[in-house]
Amino acid sequence: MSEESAAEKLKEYSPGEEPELDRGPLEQWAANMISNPERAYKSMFYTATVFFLVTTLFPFYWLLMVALTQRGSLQNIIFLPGSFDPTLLAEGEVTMGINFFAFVEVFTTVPFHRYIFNSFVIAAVTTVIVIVVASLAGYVFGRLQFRFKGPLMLLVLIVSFFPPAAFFIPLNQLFNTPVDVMRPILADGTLYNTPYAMLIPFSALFMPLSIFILTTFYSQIPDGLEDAARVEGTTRIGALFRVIAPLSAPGVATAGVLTFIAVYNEYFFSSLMTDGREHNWAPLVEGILRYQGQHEVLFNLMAAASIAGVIPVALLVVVAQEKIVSGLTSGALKE
Amino acid sequence: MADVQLQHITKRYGDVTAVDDMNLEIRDGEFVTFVGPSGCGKSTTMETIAGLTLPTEGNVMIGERDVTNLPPKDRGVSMVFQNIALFPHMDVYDNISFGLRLRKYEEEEIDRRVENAAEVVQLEGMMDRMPDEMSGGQRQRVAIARAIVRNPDVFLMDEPLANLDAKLRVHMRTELQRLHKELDTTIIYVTHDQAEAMTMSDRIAVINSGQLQQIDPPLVCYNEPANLFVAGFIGSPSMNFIEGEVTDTGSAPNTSISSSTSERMKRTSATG
Repeated sequence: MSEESAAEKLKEYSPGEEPELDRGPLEQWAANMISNPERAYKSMFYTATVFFLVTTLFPFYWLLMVALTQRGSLQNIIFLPGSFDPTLLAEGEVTMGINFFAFVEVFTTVPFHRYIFNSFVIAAVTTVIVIVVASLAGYVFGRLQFRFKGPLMLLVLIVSFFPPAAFFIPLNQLFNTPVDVMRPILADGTLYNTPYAMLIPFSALFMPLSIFILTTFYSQIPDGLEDAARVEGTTRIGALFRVIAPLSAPGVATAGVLTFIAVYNEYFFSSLMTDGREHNWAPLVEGILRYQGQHEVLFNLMAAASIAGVIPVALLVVVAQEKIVSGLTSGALKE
Repeated sequence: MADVQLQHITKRYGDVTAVDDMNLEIRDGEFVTFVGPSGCGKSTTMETIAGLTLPTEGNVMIGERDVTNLPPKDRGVSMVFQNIALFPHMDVYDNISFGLRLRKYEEEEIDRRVENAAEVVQLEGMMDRMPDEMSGGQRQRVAIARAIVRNPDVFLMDEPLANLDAKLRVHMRTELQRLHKELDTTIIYVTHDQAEAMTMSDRIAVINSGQLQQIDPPLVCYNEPANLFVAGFIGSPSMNFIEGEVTDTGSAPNTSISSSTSERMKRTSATG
C-alpha cells in the first residue's frame, strides 16, 4: 500500500471513530488488555499466584510421593509413588503398592519424635526470650525520646547484617571452654551439647528483626492508653505487657512466628553445637540425616520425616494467622 | 479525699518553660477548673499532679503526702482523658475493673463496685460491650466509671467533654456536677471552654504562659479580674479595654483617659 492511499484511507474516518484493523488473536488480546487494564492485572495476579504455589507446593507434593514409595523402588518418582501399581488391587493389595507405613517407620528407626521435640522446645524458648526482650527494646525505641536513639537502633540492626558464620568460631570456643562453676549442672562444664549453646546465639541473632518489628508497632499505640494504664495502676512495664503488647498483637505474632520458624529450621549452629544425638538436643535436621546409613540412604524415610517435621510449624502458622490478620486497635480512641 | 498543693512547680522542656513556678492550693472536695488558651501549660500542670510527667522543680502534695516522686499508680488519683483512652481490647466490665484487678481486690468486691459505678453513670446492662460498639457519650461514661470505681482521693479530668457533640456536652456537664455532689471528691478539671468553667466550678484557676493568673470563684474572676489577661480572657464577648493614666494620687485616684479614647467616647456619646 503506497503512502498516499493510506493517508486517503484515514481521511474517510471521522475523528473518534477507529479504523477496523485486521488483528490477529494475539493483537486482539493485547488491545483488550490495554483498553481494560483491570483484566490484565487480574490475569497477572493469577499467573504470579499459580507460579508461586507450584514452586512452593510441588516440592512438597513430590516429597509426599517419595515418602509413600516402597524402599525397593525409589526412582523415577514424579507424580505418583514409584511403587504404585493399580494392578496389585486384583491380587488383593488394597494399598496398591503405596507404603503408608513409612510414617510409622520414621519414629521406630530413629527416635525422630525426640528430634522434633528438641527443635520445638528450642524454638519456643527462643521465641519467648526474643519477644520479651525485644518488647522492652521496642518500647524504648518506639515510645521514648532519648539521645543517640537513631545510631543505637542502627547498631542493633547492624548485628543482623553479619552472616551467622562470622560469630561461630568465637562462640564455639566459648561454649567448649569448661567452666568449673557450671560443672554441677552441665555434664563436663561446657555448654557444648546443651540447649543453652543454641538458645543464646539464636536469641541474639533473631533479636534485631523482632526489635525492628515491635518498635514500629509499639510506636503506633497512642500515648493516652499508656497514660491511662499507668494512672489506673500499672508500672510502665505493666502497661507494656497489659496494654501496648496486646494491642500490637499482629506485630507480636509476626515477630514470634518469624523467630519460631527461623529457629525451628536452623541447622548451621545447631549441628555444630551438638554431636547430633537426640539426647544431646540435636535438632530436627540432624534427625533427618540419621536415616543415612553406611550402605543405604532411606530417602523414603527422610521424605516422611521432613513432612512430619513441617506439621508443627504449619499448625502454628495457621493458629497465628488469626492474630496476624485481625487488627484490634479499631475504636481505641476518639480521633 | 484530700486537698492538693502545688509548691513552686516548674516544668521545662529544653528551653521551653511549660509551667513556671506554679503555687496552688486546692481544698478537699473542691471542684477547681484550669482554664487558659491552648499551650498555656494547664494540661502539663494536670499531668504533673497525676505523675505522668515529673516536674523539673517543686513539690506536689496530695493530702499530707509528698507525692512528687511517686509513680502515678501510688498517688490515689484517677483521670479521665481528653481522648477517652478506653482499652480497646477489653469489654466495658474489664475496662472499669482494670484498676481494681491490678490491686488484687476480691471478686465480689470488684463486682459490687463496678455495679455501683455503672449505676452512677447509667451504664447498666452494657457490661459485655466492646468500646468500638459504643457511642461517644457511652464511651465517655465508661471512662468516668473507670475513674470513680477506685474511690480516688483526687479526680483529674483533662477536657473530658471536648470530643462530644454540643448537645451531649451540655448533658454530660450536668451529669458531672451531679457526680461531684454525689461523690464529694476533689475534682480538678481542665478545659478551654469558658462556659464549662463558669458553670461547673467552685473556683477557676486562670493560667497563661505557664503562670497562674488568678484563682477565685467564677463570678469573682468575672467581676473583679486580677489583671488584664484575666479581664480579657473571661467573659464573652470579652471586656473592653480603655487605656488610661493615673493623674492624682490623692484620697481617690483619679484616672485620665488617653486623649484618643476620650475623643472617641465624646463622639459616641454625642451621636448615641
